[in-house]
Amino acid sequence: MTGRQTLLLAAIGATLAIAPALAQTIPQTPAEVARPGGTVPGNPKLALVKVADGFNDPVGVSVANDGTGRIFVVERVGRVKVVGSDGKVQQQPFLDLTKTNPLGSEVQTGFVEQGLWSIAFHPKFKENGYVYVHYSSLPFNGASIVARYTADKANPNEITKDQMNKSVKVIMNIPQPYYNHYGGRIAFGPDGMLYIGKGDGGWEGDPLDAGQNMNTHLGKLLRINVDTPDNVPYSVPEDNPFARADYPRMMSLFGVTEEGFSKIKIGVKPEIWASGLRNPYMFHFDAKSGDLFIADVGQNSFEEINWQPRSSKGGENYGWKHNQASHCHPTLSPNDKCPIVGVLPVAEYPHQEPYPGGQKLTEGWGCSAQGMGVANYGGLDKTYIVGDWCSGRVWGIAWDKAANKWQMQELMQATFQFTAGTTDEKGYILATNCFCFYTEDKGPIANPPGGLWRLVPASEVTAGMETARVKTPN
Amino acid sequence: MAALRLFSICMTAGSVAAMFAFLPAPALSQDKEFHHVFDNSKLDVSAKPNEQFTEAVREFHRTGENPYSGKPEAIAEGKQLYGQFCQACHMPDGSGGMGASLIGDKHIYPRITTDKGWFEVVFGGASGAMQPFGLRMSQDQILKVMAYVRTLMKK
Repeated sequence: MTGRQTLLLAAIGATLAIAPALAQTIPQTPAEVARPGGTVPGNPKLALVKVADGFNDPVGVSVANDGTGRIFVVERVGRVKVVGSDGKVQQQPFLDLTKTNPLGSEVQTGFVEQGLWSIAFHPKFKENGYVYVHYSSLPFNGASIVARYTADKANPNEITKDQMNKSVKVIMNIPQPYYNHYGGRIAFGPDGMLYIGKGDGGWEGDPLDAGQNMNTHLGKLLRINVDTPDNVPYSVPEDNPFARADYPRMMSLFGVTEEGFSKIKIGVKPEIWASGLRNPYMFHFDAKSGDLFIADVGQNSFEEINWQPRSSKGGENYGWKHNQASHCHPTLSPNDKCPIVGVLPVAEYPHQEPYPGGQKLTEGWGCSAQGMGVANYGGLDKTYIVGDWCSGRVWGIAWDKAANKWQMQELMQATFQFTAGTTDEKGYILATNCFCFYTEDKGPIANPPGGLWRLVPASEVTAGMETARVKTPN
Repeated sequence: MAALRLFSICMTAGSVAAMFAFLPAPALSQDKEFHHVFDNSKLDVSAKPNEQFTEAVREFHRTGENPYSGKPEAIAEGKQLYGQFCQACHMPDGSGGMGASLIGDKHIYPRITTDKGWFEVVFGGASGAMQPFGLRMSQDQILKVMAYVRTLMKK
């Protein structure tokens, strides 16, 4: 090696030593999983500003991205309300599933986790008027239904009962064994596919082992193509990770590698994109990067937030019910020993009593992670915003290039019971809150009304705006 | 005639009294002020349109002390309400589960060691699932629930 080559290598080595952080990665060990107490890049000062209120159990929110600035708030009872760009709520619902069936509501709302959860707008909604809903069905004994309706361009703020009945196309009907853990959100990815968050079907402890059973849609994130002829409900995208795993084939015992054998999965549901999920009620794509975040609601001990880069080919197993976040399930003590199954979350946070009989936490806890969207404003960069259903805490989760790790920061604590969120047409986070906690639920139209809020940089709050009552951690 | 006039005056007085019975009770100047646990902003503890304050509520507003403490009938009613609204989170014995422990000496909000501060948290809510129960219960009912929980603290 010449002296010049040595110098060159030394220079390269020095460059690598001071090179900026490695690429954003998924934690490989529990120690790498972000927990409360970190600081996300930007360390923003934020406020929650009221957009509108008076909603009956608002449990979902979406926008059409059609340039109108409208916001669509999902009421659990089975209605979707339109909020105009002026913040005024249209009294007549955009869509009302309680009136389409002459025998009663289309929607089962008997338990608080049941109802209409989500509305998604086709990427070409402006041209085709297609909207998709996900709800628990009364006629189908609580099965979850994904259905398409077509908005009438002549009447853009209301899909009338007649128009609903004329245009309905049922996409999926997934039987539900128990009355909880349905999942909920449906959303189009940057690839134009419809993603469906499906819970493990309920009870507790995943008694059906749905998270790990690849022969059920339960406990999964599903991915389907809805751009099919009207007489075809949907198709399985060719690039789904298990699209061909159950194809009929000749049996060959020799000349096939073990890796080849491992790809044969008889009975696997080809719609599966990711598995090992308990109750992915909320998940969101980052409009900037195309990355996917999943807020998977935990059981008694830990909440987890999962991340997939845009480049993911799918097939991730997030470990439920072997693991709860980066911990063992059942979660018994901080000293539990068990294998980590599949892919670790990027962040987790504890319940007030993360271990049975353990000391109760006074800070940094929650009970149910409700993802609200990915923020790219106010100093935040690709930061997933999560609100908690029990503690009202708002978390930010982001990759910290400088520290080369994921960070989780409590941005504020509100008085709210957060239910859902999305980003509006300008990229701001929208959040809904209800007064519909399990033990106080009196029914979807009897509970005190909930609200719609926007998360803005504190510097953008102006006189006349109503801000939420919040505490900011010291 | 005189008897008729007296009857008329009594009727008028009765009607006026009845009318006031359905008006929200204004906060009296000597009443305590109640504040939200998050930011100490003032809580509106005036009666709701269909709520009629009991003497116990009026006394509580004046003193900040729960008149129902130790009163068996109120405690019995409070136990029913606790079962309906509170125990799923705070557990039947108040030891906490999904919600905070109500017994012992470690509290998320130190103010709950006084009746007034405790009422502020229950009535005005704290965070998340600890909603403002003033939206769901009358102030009289909240005082009865508090009286019942006091009995759990002493066990």
